[in-house]
Amino acid sequence: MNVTIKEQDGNMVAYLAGSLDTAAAAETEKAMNPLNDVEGKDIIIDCTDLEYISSAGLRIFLGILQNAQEKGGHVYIKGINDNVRTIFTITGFSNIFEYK
Amino acid sequence: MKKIIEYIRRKLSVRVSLWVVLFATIIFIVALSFLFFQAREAVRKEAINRATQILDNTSLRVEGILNRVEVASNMTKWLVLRHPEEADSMLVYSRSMLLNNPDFYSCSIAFEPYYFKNKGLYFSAYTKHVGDSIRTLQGGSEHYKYFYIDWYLMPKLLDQACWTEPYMDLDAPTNTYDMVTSYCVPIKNKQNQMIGVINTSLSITWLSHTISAVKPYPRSYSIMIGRGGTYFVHPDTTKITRQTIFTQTMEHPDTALTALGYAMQRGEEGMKRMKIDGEDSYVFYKPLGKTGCSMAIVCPESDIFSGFDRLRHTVMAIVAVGLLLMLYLFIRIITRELNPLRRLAQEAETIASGQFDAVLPDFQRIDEIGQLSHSFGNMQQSLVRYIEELKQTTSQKASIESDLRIASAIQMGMLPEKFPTKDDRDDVQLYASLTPAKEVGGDLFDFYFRDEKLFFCIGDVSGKGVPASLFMAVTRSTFRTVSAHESMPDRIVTTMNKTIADMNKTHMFVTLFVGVLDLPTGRLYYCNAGHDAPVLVGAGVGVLPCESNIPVGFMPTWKYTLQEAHIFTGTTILLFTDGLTEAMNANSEQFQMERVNNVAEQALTDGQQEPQLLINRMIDAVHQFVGDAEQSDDLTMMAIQYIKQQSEVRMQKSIVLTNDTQEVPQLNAFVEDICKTVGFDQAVTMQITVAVEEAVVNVMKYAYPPGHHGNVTVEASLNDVRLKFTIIDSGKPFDPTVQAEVDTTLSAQERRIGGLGIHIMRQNMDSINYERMNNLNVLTLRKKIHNT
Amino acid sequence: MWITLLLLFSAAANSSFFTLNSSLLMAQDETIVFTPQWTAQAQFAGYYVAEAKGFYRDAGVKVRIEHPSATQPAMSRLRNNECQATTLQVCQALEIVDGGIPLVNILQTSMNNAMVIVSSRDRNPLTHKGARVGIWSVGFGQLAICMSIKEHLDYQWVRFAQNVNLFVSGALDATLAMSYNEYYQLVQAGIKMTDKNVYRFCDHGYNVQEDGVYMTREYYNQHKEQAHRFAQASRKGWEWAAKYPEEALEIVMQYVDKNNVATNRVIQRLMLKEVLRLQVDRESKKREFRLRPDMVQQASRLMLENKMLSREVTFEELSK
Repeated sequence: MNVTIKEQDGNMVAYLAGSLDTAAAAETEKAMNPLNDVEGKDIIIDCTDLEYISSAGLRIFLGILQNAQEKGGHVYIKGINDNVRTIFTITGFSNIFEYK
Repeated sequence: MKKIIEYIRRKLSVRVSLWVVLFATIIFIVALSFLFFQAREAVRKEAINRATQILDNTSLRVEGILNRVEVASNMTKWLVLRHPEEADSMLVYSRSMLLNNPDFYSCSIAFEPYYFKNKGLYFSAYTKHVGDSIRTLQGGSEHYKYFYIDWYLMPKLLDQACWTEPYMDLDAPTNTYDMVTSYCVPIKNKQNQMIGVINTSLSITWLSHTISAVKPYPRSYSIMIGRGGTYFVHPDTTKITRQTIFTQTMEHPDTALTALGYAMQRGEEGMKRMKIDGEDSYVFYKPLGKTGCSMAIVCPESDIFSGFDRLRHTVMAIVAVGLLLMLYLFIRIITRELNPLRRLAQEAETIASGQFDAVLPDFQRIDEIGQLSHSFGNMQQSLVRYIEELKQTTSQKASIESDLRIASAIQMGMLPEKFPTKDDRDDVQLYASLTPAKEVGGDLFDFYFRDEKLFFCIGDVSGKGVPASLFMAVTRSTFRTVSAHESMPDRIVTTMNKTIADMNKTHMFVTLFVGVLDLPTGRLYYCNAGHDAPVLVGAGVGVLPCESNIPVGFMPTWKYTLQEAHIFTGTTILLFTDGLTEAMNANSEQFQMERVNNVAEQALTDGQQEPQLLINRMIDAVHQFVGDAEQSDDLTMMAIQYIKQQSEVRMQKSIVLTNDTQEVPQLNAFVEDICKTVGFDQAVTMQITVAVEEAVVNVMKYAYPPGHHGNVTVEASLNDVRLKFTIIDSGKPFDPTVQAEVDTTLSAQERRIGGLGIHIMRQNMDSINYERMNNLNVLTLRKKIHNT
Repeated sequence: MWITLLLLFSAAANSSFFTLNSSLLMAQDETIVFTPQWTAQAQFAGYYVAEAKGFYRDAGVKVRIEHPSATQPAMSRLRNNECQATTLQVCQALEIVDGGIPLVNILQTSMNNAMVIVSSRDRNPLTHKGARVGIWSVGFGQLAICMSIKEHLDYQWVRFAQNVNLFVSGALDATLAMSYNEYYQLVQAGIKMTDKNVYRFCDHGYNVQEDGVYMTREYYNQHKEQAHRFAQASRKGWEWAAKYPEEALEIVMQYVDKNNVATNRVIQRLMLKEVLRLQVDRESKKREFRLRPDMVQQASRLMLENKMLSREVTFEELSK
């Protein structure tokens, strides 16, 4: 599981690659932590290379979103594949995130 | 006619009046008939008396004169016989007869031919009135051969004095006719040889006038006939001397008239009632002395009774008019008296038409009609009151009924309507029926599938009707609520009991049977709360052993016991309420368990233990038993047949992991590998992988106390139909299936971390099932292979 | 009633009774005065019809019907030429011819004998020997006398002017009567007629003709043509009466009323019917209007036998 966070075009972009299962969740959460400090910028989570996600991963996404929204920021999901999207859909996450 | 009868039937006044007048008429008829009869008799007697008196008087008068004639004639005869040889003396005797008796008409003393040798063939001393003088002459001549004449022949032949038939004698100077009759006495000498006849004639014109004048009644008349029946007095003067009383009988036989003629000829006296000239008449007759004549008074009956008839007609007319007047007055009076009744009837009609506030007339009367009116007024008031009450009651009832209908619909709506059959499922089929005794009932049944379990219950609330139905609704919703979080019947019932008992202020209770059938295994967990034990219809018919416990709602602290049984494929569980066993027929006999068993056995024999067939059969049996009797209690049945066929296992793999989440990739690889083997595509593979991960992570995180090492075993097995993952751990009992699910519709801020796992399991897998077996938590996830 | 009866007292056959006291003019040649033998009644219906219907006028004869009066009986009128024709019974005619007055029968109407004996008290007259039997004082009874002699009945004949009252009063045991006249008068007086108490001469070998019209031979010889026409017209009257009896009765009643005869329509109707019946010959069943020689001979011989005639008067003496 790789997490790369870049500032790009004024947005904070997190590139996620690999399987975000429960085992990878703690590490990923830690890696994503910088996003919680972002202020005044939109957060884009690029899921192009995200192959797998379980509820542990979804909780990280939810935490980032709730944090960002408290600050008035936006969290966008980008490049999500069909399989992962299915998980998003069945859990209702597809409704709470914005997409780019 | 019909109209008149119809009118009479419709009018009481006319009818009563007609009766009264009818009776009055009858009385009048009887009384008047008697009166008329008596009066008529009196009139008749009076007429007879009158006529008889007239006849007697006339007869007496005639008799008197006749006697004088007879005496005078006999005197003369005596004189003649003193000097029978002196012809001239005869002229003197003859003349002195008329001189002494100026009212006599004439006198002849006639002798046999050649009696006086010097006088020739004829000698008759004939004296007659001529004007005021009396002329005496010799009467016999060539033109008047007196000895051929009746007056001479009759005394001669009869050898005795006699009166001749009257005749009309022409008085030449005055050219008038006199009716004359003669008394003829034979004169015999000492040798008893007849030598002549003394003829003393008497004019009886006066008699005929007298008799003609006899008119006791306006149209009555008198007749007089001679010995030969000849009329000498008759109102029709053309008949006088020309006709006899028998003349008309010669052409038109008339026995009555003939009989009268004979009677008069014979000199009889009497009265006859007969038809004369077509008119009923009374004829009174009496002979006139010795003249041989007879007199009769003919009185037309209508004449005699004319006064009487006039009286009768007048009386009858008065009575008739009186009766008609009486009828009219009666009708008027009774109509007037009954007028209030008619108004009352009209008002009643108005009231009957629905106008209850119609004002009744006040007649101010104290008679029966007044009483009726009064009673009617009271009735109206009561009616108004009752109608008002009835309206309210009706509307209330209608509202209640409407409510009840809605309640019934709601109650029925609560109950599952779709029953799974073998076409829908391969593991179980089910059918249920609830027939409330009233609109709403206290019976309930429910079932639903959660994961791979069939949750079901059947119950019977104490009492019936609305309270029972409300309690039933509470029970049912409690069942749903509680069973959503509890999978074990004992715990479900215990929780329900606590909940219900806490809020049960009405001290109602419900007997309940709650079961959970694990569909993959056929294991049945159940808890009975005072309900009838279900019947098992499988290899045979038997009763599921049940601990009775107590009904729900009494004792909040009661701990209900759990029971278990294995249901073999093909076995039907028949649950029912006491409405089945206690169904009553008209003789108050109950259906009873024995009959339930018999019907079930028969169904089994016939291979009809499938739920719907079995229940229908049972219902038919109950209906047949009950007949026309009213359904006494709610009747509820539910039948569950387990039909799961165990499939052959194709593949079986397992992996044992510790309670470390870092072993998740290992798990995922295991799962993905299996999915690949089965041939699921990437998307399904990922769904299954996520679901299994969630289940296993759950165990890893929560089954064991923190810091304690524990294992979690994941078994995968495949048959023709499904891929099954069984996750087993020995940690604390935990049923993830009863955990609250995440609300996926909430916004990001509202959502809580947690609950997602079970949601993902349910969504991604076809079924999820938890069992606690042998102190192990056993969670089963299944995915069909064919729908991919 | 006596008045009318008195008219006839002298209508006897005995010529010595006739006295010539007529002061009337002789009938003119052309007028035949016809005097029936009795008062107006249906016995003479044919003549009344002939006069009323104008048969005489049509026949070219002048006929005047004058009924007899008390002082002028029919035969007396004929003898005095006060009338030229009269009716007589055959027996009467025989007596008159025997008495020396030749007569000619110019029309015979009766073909049968009408005389009967009626017995009182429902008794057969033939078994009543010595009975007092009424007989007309004016004749007509010749055959009855002949019969009583022949049958040895020894009847005591009582001559009467009028028999009804005598009979009714019981003064007579029986009486002679004409079937068309007295017979009905007796019935009218209440006498019951049975088969037993009525003896009909015609049924016992005494069927001698009665009424016919006669003229003196002297007159007849001078007025044959007129006599013939008169007879034919009279016959025509009778034939018409036989054909229209009701109308004939009407005419009779006019004559009855005109002559004030004490009778009535009922009696006259019966009389007309009977008279017309008697005009039908028993053997030929026809109205023959002829004098039968056999009957004339029978009557003549019977009367001669009983000394009523001095000689036999023959049929030829009466014939035209």
